[in-house]
Amino acid sequence: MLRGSVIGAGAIAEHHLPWFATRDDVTLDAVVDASQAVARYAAERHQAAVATTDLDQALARLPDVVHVLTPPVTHPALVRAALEAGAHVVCEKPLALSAGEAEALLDLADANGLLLVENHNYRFNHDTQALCQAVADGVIGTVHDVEVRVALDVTNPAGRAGDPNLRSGVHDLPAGQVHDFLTHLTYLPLLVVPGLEVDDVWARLSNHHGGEGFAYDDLDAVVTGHTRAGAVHVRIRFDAMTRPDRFELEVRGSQGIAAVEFFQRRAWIRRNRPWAGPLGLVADQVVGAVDLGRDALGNLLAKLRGQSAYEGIGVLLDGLYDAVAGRGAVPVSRQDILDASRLIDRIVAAGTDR
Amino acid sequence: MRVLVTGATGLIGAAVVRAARAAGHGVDAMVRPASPGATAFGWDGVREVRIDLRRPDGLAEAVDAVDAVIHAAAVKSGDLSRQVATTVVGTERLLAAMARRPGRRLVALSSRSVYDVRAVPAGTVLGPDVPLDHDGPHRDDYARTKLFQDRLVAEAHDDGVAEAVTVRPGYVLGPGEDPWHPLLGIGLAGRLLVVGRARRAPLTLVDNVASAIVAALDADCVGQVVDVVDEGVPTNAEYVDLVVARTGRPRPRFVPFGLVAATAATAHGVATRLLGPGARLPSVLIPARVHALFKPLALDPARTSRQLDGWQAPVPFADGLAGLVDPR
Repeated sequence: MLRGSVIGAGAIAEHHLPWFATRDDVTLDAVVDASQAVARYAAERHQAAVATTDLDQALARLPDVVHVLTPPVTHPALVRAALEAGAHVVCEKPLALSAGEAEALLDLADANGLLLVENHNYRFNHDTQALCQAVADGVIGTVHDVEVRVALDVTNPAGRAGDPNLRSGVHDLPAGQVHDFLTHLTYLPLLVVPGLEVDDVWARLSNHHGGEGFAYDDLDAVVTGHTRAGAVHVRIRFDAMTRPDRFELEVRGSQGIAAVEFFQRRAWIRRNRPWAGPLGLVADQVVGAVDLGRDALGNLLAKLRGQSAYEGIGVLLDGLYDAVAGRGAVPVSRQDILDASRLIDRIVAAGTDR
Repeated sequence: MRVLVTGATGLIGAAVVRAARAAGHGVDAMVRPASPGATAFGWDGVREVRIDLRRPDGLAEAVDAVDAVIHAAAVKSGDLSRQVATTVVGTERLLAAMARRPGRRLVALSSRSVYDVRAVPAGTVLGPDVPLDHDGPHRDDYARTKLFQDRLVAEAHDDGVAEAVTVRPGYVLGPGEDPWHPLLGIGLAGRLLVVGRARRAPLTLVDNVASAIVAALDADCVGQVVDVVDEGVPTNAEYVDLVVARTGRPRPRFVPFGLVAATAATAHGVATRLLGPGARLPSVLIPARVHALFKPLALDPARTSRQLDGWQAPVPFADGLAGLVDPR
């Protein structure tokens, strides 16, 4: 039986803690939080053995895996403490605030023979996997253009980042509020364009809505690069001003386009059909209507089942615990983490240099 | 006595500040840093304390300075983790501050939403005869955090940290509230379906619940739960007549509670069978929430009066309601 402990019982923990009940071979050992009441509330709801504010107490119980789910600036110290206590670690993104810091933590994990995984949950969403398969199968030809775009209402005063009464530490990250999402925005393009060599990065970070306390709430970045198959252009956007909230990944190739919208669970593929002539347009409309109906029904059923855009966390955790038990490879590799971290470094450097 | 009021800019908190001043108490109003304060509320003789309960800064000193605390701060929106981070952590910090000088009176604002009204037959008196619910996704996040907050307060009382009184008001009507309140019925496509003609929703006017809370500061009710509903709450049919006559709003249709409850039970049963125990449905199809909102229960305002040493609500319900509903 593997034992996992959770550090930080905030919002993202609500997507980790229920996972423990899905596995017969894993138990939840300790919940650690700065608030004893919060730790206790989470521990009671998810049948943890211990609720504590004392990290050392939790680590002394020698958990097999520690989930670091605290604010980003605390990640390196907590990950280090967990690794030094002999635990494998899954850490909420970003693992660290620079690629160098992330690499040092990965080196420590390697030196101790432990697994260290950064949460790349959208890698494991069903729609992402299907899109990657379509790309790998050549359905859209050679990929030349990727766009990943997030719109989030982070400036809302009722939300965490926009709360005027309690300034969030997220604004002190190198890319401010945007930094909290940069990991997703970088590993997805790198995932759908395997072997991408980055040539150049242009980026602009700004406080577009001008909110007090915000360092940045907007990112526009362009990454140019190449693979053995040719040139690739990647556009990365984070925006706080447009509604509804959405998270879109669109991959454009020489023979078609594949796209996913994670929040509303839409996925579609358009293929180039020059041989079909005018009928190709008709076929596109029919395929589009079928896709829309399928997505609408799928989205409704997913909501009724209580599934969310965070569905990939369960897959990632299954993979990690299986790897710890010696049944498979680590779900997010060292190289995956470092590639995303290095691209983040370049985007932040370019975006804050203007 | 000198009283600290948390959540002082909320609907109930602001009324509590006024009522406590009117009762002759000195009031320290806890106001979050970015909230409008004394000027906006027209408070006179009130000391404003700029604190957010989620941070420890200044809290111990603010609590040290008073003889009693009225804890009305809570959030009703946001996801579970946000409500826990605010309502539960805020209560935890407040109790820790009170523990520095134990034994002072704490009047904590709870909610009738913590009751498990599914467990009792229709007609049961809302109050001590109704068991508390348990935490779970069958209840909304506000009810879940209030359940846990009540436990923290009860434990603090048992541990001697505070002489706690828990106040559970019915649905509170105050200025700016839509008279088509959520306990009245279900909104469907812009139309209201009122659940139960003869049912009396557990309602209280904000000035009445504020008065009851202030009375709990020195009434002989330590360790008790005080449920507050107003005397003379009309049936839903009478309430609708009054609002329609006064505002000219379209007359809503009525639907029996039994039909609403049976629909929810059927939908929930089918969804659970088809989609598994994790099935999520709209609130109106979740049996626990339908019962919590619409089950016909008896109300006992006289019990409130007995618990609060003969306290009487200062505003007759009919008068107060007429004042709240804008005439056409």
